[in-house]
Amino acid sequence: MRGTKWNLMPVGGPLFHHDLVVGGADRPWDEAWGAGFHRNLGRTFGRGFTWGIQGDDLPDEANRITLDPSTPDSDGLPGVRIHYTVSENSRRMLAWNLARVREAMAATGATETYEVPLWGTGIGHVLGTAVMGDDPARSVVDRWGRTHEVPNLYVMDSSAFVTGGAVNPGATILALALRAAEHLADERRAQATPR
Amino acid sequence: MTAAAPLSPAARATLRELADALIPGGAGQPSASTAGVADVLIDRVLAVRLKAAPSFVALLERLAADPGPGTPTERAQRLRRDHPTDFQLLAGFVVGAWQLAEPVRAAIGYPGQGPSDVTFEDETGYVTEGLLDPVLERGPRAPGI
Repeated sequence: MRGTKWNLMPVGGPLFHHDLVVGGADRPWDEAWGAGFHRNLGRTFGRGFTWGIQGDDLPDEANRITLDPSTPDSDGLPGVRIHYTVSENSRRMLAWNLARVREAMAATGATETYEVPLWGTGIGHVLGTAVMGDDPARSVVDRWGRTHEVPNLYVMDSSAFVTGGAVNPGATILALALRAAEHLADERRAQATPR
Repeated sequence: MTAAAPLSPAARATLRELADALIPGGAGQPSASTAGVADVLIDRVLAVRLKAAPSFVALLERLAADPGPGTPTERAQRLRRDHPTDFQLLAGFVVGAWQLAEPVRAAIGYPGQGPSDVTFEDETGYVTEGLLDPVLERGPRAPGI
């Protein structure tokens, strides 16, 4: 369900290239190191490209942020704990697209391919947790990013996203923020403030 | 965040041996020791990898104090097999230091990172080419909301 975006990218500099292409823990020593290091670096560096598959991770109430008293900040306030699991839909969607990428790579004449089925560290966009909606029972902010519970408090970033989409969210974040800011300015005389 | 303690001579010697086991030289590319990995290059990496540097220094000091049997290659292989996280730390620093050397960059055809001169026209060409014309003609999707 839903979709993906494919990003065509270079493989990166030699350190990243080595980690990705031949330096993995599952590689035989003679391939990754020693004479193999030089042989494979010379053979592959600057001769590859990457297809990055970016998928729409569906919203799931089990994916959430909770307060964590065991990890307080420097002011003694509770820290946060992130609860996140990659969904079955996302795994299947990525697997299907990975199979299509194999086909695309073969069609370009690739002699070797290396796959990372799920890139879990540092890749992705953090969205949701303060979702937008008309019903205070099912959302945190209204259509303008104004919180239902706290007067005069707005959330204007990707926290307000209800769904993620498969594309980079930067432009949408900017558009929502501009829209919310314009509304805030237009309605500034009608804002309820905490007493 | 403060810098890690410098590598001792013994740790540096151990690094020199293990780095050459990983990157011995060949195919027109210099070895780790020829490139200077265990000397000024590793110090450059330690200076910028402040979070990982203490662990790296501690690892090299441990390996220097208790290298275990075998050749440097056998010791590196044993580290990779028995302590893969430690090996990844070693390997990352060694390869990162090695690629800083100018002879290495010349040999592998990697000029390093540098500024990318992007002009205003580069970024707005898609507008002048008409790619966004349908969006502009359509106007706002949800007027009044």
